[in-house]
Amino acid sequence: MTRPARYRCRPLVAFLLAFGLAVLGCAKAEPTDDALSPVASALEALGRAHRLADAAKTDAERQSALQALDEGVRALPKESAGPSAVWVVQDALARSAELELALGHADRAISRAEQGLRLGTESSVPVASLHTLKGRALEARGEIEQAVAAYHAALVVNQQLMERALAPGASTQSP
Amino acid sequence: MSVTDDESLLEPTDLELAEAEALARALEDGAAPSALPEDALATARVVQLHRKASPDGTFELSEEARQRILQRVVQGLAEHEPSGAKAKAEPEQESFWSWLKRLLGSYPGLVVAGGGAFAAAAVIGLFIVGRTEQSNVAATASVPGVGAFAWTTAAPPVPSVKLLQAQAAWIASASEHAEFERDMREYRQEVYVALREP
Repeated sequence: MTRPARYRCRPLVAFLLAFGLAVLGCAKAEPTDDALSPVASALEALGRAHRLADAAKTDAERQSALQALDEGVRALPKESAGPSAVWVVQDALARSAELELALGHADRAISRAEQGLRLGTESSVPVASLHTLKGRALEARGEIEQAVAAYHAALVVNQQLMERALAPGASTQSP
Repeated sequence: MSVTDDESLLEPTDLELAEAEALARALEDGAAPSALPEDALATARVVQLHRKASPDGTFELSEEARQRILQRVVQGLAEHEPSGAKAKAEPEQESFWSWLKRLLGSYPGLVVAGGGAFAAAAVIGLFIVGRTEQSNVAATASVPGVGAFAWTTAAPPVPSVKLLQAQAAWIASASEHAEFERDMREYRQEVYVALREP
């Protein structure tokens, strides 16, 4: 029995489809340089944002610096991020809290400081800065006792870092 | 050669004749064996009817008719085999592999289409895995500017004592911010550079 031509073509179509998918899959799976640059580009953006914050003299410039910092943090890849990544984000949030405080936004400054502290409280320079800026904002709101507690927390972290830095054999890597 | 060409083949044996007569009598008595073949039963019924139709009740048939009827009875008996033999004659159950061979032989396109579908599924799986690894690599791999090791596992460099002293002074007094800010700028740059080294 002879089958119609359209049925005889089906195996060929199936084979060509599988072959095309194989070629497409291999082409897409190959890593490219463009796909490997998010961390580098995000760090570049954050560096520029910090420079904007350094140079900010007016409220508008501070707002621009704030926006640039937020964009830099958002651009950071979150996958497989280690302690260095946490350091970078907490540093950016401390800088943002500082700008909010300069803008007179104590509530926002506290919010950003607490946001940074929620990422981790392992002793580091940014963590001490976050406690300090939270204390400044609380002080601006008249909440002196809570501000003193925040300053105390900042000094504890600073003291721990100092002890590590002065310890014999302290390397270039912190724990 | 037809069966009727050879008269010797049509001639029943004495045993067969006796069986046929016994069958006819059994039918007349209403005690026909249930296991008899249909042909034999039908033929026996014909014999029975002929017997009843004869005027004197005797069973009279022409020699030709008798031979023909008996031939049918004998053939029917011969074809009636025991149940074991009948079961043996039934077609054997088809095995899975013979069924599969017959199916694939009838539809060779199924082989290619099935293989193609399997290959496509494998490619799609590899594609997804590749994309996932690519995403992780984007965050972690050693690339121009950022090293995977630094981003995933390394801790930032130890801050200098000078920086920590400036920070302690700033914590105690907001007016001491300038020196800390300057030292922090240098330290931040140091951390970023460390992140860029593979």
